[in-house]
Amino acid sequence: MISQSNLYKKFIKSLIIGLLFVVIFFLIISRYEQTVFEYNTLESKVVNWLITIEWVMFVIFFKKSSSYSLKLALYLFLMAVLLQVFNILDLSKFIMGISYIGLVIGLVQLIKYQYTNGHNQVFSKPVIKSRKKAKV
Amino acid sequence: MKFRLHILIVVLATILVTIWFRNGLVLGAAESSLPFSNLEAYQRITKWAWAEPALGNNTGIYTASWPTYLVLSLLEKNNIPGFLIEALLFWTILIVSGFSVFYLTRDFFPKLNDKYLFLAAIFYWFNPFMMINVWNRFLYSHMIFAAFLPLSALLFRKGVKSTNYVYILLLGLCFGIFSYALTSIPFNIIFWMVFLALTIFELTNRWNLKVLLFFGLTFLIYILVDFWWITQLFSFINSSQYTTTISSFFSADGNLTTLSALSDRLGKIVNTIRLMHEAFFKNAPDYWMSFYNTRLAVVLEFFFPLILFLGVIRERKNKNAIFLSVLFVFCLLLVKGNSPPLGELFELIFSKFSFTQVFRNPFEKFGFLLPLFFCPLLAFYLSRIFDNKIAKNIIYFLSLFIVLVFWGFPYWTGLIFVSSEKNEQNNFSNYEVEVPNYYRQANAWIEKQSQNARFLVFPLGGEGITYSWKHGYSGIELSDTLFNVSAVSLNTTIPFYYDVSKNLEEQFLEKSNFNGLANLLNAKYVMSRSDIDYKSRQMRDPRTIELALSDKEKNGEFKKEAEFEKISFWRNLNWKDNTVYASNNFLAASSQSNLSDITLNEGEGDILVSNSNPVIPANAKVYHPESQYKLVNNVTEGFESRQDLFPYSSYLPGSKFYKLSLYKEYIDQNTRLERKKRILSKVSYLGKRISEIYNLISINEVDKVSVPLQIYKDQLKDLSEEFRQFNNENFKEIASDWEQESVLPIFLRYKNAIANIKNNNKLNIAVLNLIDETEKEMDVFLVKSNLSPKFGFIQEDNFKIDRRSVQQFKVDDNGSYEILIDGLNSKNFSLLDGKKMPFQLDDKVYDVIPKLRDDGRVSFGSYDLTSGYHEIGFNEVRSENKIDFKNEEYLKVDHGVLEKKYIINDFDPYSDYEINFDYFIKSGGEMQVSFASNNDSALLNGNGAELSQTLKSDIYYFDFRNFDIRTTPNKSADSGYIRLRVLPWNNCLVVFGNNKGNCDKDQIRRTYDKTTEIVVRNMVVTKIPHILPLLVHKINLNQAESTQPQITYKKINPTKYIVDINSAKNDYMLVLSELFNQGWVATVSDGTKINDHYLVNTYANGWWINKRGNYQITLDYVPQKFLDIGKLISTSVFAFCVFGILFYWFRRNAHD
Repeated sequence: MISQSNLYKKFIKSLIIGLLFVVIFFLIISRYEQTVFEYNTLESKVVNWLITIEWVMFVIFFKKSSSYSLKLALYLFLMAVLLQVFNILDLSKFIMGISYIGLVIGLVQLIKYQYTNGHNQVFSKPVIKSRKKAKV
Repeated sequence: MKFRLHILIVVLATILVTIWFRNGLVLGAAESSLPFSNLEAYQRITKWAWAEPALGNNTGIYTASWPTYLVLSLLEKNNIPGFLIEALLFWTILIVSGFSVFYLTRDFFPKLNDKYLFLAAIFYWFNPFMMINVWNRFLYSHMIFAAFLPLSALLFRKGVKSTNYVYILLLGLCFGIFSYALTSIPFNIIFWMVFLALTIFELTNRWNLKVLLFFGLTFLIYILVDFWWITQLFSFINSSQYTTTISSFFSADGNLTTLSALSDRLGKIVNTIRLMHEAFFKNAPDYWMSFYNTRLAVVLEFFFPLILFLGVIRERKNKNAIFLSVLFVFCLLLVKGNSPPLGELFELIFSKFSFTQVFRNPFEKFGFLLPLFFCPLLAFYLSRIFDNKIAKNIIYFLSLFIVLVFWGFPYWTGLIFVSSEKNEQNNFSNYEVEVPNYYRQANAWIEKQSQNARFLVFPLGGEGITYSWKHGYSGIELSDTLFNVSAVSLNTTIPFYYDVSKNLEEQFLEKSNFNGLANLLNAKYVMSRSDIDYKSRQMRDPRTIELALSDKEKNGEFKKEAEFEKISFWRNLNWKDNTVYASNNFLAASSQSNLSDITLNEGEGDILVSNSNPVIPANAKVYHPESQYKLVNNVTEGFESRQDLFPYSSYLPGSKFYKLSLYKEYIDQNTRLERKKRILSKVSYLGKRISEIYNLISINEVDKVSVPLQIYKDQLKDLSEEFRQFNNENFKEIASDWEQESVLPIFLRYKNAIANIKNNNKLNIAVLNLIDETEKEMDVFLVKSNLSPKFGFIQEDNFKIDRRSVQQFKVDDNGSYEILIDGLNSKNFSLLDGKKMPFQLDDKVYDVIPKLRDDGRVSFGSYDLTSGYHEIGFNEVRSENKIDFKNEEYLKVDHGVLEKKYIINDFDPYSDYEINFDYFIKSGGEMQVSFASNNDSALLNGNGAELSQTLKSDIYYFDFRNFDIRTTPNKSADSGYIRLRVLPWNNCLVVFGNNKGNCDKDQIRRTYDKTTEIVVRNMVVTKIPHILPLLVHKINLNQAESTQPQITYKKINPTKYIVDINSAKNDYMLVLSELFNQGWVATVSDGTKINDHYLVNTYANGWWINKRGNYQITLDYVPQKFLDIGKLISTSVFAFCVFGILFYWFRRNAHD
């Protein structure tokens, strides 16, 4: 019974994520030029926020680590750089924006992790120690 | 190793500075002026709370730069050349910033090898942000802040970690020594943001009240050490000048527009992540900066951000690295302003908290934080990213190459001090400046002659100037630096000063009795300068000024007294010392007055006062229009299917989606934070309501018409208030009421469209009544929103609306008023002479023959008016054709450029011009039409014209087309002409595709030329003078002849005057010819403070005094007292810091 319920929850989560992805996809496809290139339009703002929400939900629902977000952001960053090098500037700008969203989310996850799981390892480490060492 | 790297930082800094100043010349550009050519002048200006240059102004926060100028001027007094002092300053900035970043990085990452610390230090110097925004931008406050920021961050971090209070004392010294960096309010906010972040970080490590106490005490020491300039900042914020500046030159909407524009230009993540200034590199001319756009360069630019990404992923357990990474990423969010992604957060805070509007250019301000956090991070991640020693070394040396060679190249070559724009000689000018010797001689001469008076400088341009010296200068106007005497030499947006300076050159050239006007400004001399590059700044040709002065010399107004090579001084022959004077002969003028109004009243010693002042008995009152309304022609059209005016509506009342579509409109309108766009969208949605009404009628659903009509009426009410408020907040000058000319015809069409609905005989009574109500509502709306005059645009058979301009006045008294026109000078009067000219006065039309008065104004006679609102409207006056043009011109070109010029006869830069002709592009390319002037920039292949348009062939219409355009010439132009340029058709660029460089070669390009043939006919250029009426009401005071008191004054310093009054027998006005500021206070010798302090002569201070007899009055600029107290406190606390540190140091040494 428990595993069935989990499966059901997972299905619902995937459905939400999937639906949101479809919305973003169609927003980008249907108004491709305006959404991606003309940053002042309402749609482009909505797309960025939807991507942020999608990313956050994905990370929460599927318990993805900060490493996941940061790596994905890195791949997007590399893609944006490549496009920039080949002078495909507008798309590069758009992808770099998403990469930045990933970087922000990854860092927020990292801080959260330090405060909870990694608390003993990192944040409680006394600073005085290194200072004393330096003085010696 | 450590020692060598320290030495290396010093050596590199020394080499850099040696390269930069190798020619022994000072560097100067931009808004920082040229202080190193006369440091004493700057010391003197910033020393006092009142700065004397121009018409005077409060020094405000710029007093923060005084200690820097004081120290540097001491070096200057010891005969150390300016360039060496500047070099020393730059060297200090490099050393302080380099070592601070070195130790800051070590503090964050104590185990880091010194070679990485060295890399961090030099990357802080050689990064694209510093390259452009600090060195190339060339603002001393930016440079000093670049050194102050890492130093203060280092001291604060060390202090807050150890809670050792000696660091507070060190920070105190830092706040004092680097106070120049604090002349910018955003910089103050930025470094406190850094301190706050460091405090929070420390608190997350260990919750300790001492950490908070450290933060609080640092803030206290900051206030105390910087107390002298903080007093000035607050006295400025509390002054009327601040509110006037904000209301006249800034608005929340304007700031938001600026933010959006700058965020769009500079805030893209793809550029900010590599610290790059997009506009500088992207729009780079074919010079060194264009190298950074090549593919290899782009790869190298992204190398360090890549290291950052990899480092964040790899080093996820180092709290200091996480802290710095978070700060860096947060800074990226700030730096990009409201550009995507997530820019709405910034925009929300920006629009809700007005103090954040100082960050209108977030890249320029927050950008300083990027290298501060990036450099330590980069050093750390570079050391950790590979475990393999060889890989580590390779990556290190590659990084060193990127920093020292790739980014360092413009530094080593001095190219960072070269302008990115070409000068008139088609060169990229560098910042090296050498002031010619004749300026020193001229300064010495004028200092002797001035006697507290000032001088006027012509040609007078905007804030910027370009001098054509051997080592020329391009930046903010230099008269403050070159002369120790106040001069009105530029036009800038300082309240009251701007009102004087904006038309001063026009008054000088156009008015015959300029002496009187110059006396009001206390100007003893006029200086003419011919060593400026007038074309690059679109200023007047200096020869015109010389000619005008020669004419005035012949008329006995001015006399040439001295000449120093390219500058000459002409004495005002009627000059009398008006520094402080008294008079009781007044002319009152409304708020839109200008200095030339004084010429309406004859007699010397007159004072121009505000007509809203009930106390002062004026001999005459002058009223300028308060509002202006324009209508091109009578609007008779109503509804038609046009998406722009009457947008199509998919859902009509009755449809279940109608309400939803209204909600969508609501969301659309209210998500537009820019008010201009929001208002225009609301106007457009009103049209949509009318479109719905007509659609309903067309499908015979007449019973539902009341729904959109009612919504229209309600929306109109909402819009009325928004329109009025927006206009009131944003537009102070009558000529610039926003969109009135374009929006009014739209509403008139809406009105006609609504009136036409009544023609439908199926409408019921209720709907007809609603239409009547809506029509009435429309009339009220148009007047209330300042779109239409109260009396409307009156039409008669002999006076049809033809580019009608109606001016609205509000007069105080019943009586006779003469209608005068100021804009019609003697050149343009010939257009009216002897002819009857109809005009509307309120709701009546008059037809009179105007007369030219002696003072150059045109009179339309006197009329009896009652107190209240009145309106005067004229149709446009046009001249005959002002160019010699035969009926038809055939232009054919096979190769090269064919250029035709048509000189405009009787050119008048103060009138508008309309150009109209027919053209037919028979074959080939295009034709460029320019309205060019004698002072157009020679850059852009001579295309720097005020108006330039390209006419191309049409793919549908193959016949003559009409071209019609209206333009206002540059006010500083002396002659103008129409230029037609025709080029052959050429497809070289298309053929060569990727090898477009081939087309730059003339021989190759020529082979792709094909003939262009264009016919131009019936070219007419008409002059349209500005008609700005004013009302003059003469008052017979019927009072016995009054006498003026005898006064003598003594100037103690720029903030204090003592005035001796003798034989005061009447009430009088005491005038101090310094810029009006409520900080100026007049106190009688018995201690009575005079409260009746007024703005007089449109810029000066006046006190209405009704005390009789002999007595003394002291005129004080009160903020000087706060400055004196502030200096005392700041000096004491600074000394306390010095002694505290010495005490600590001695005690620690003794203890050891």
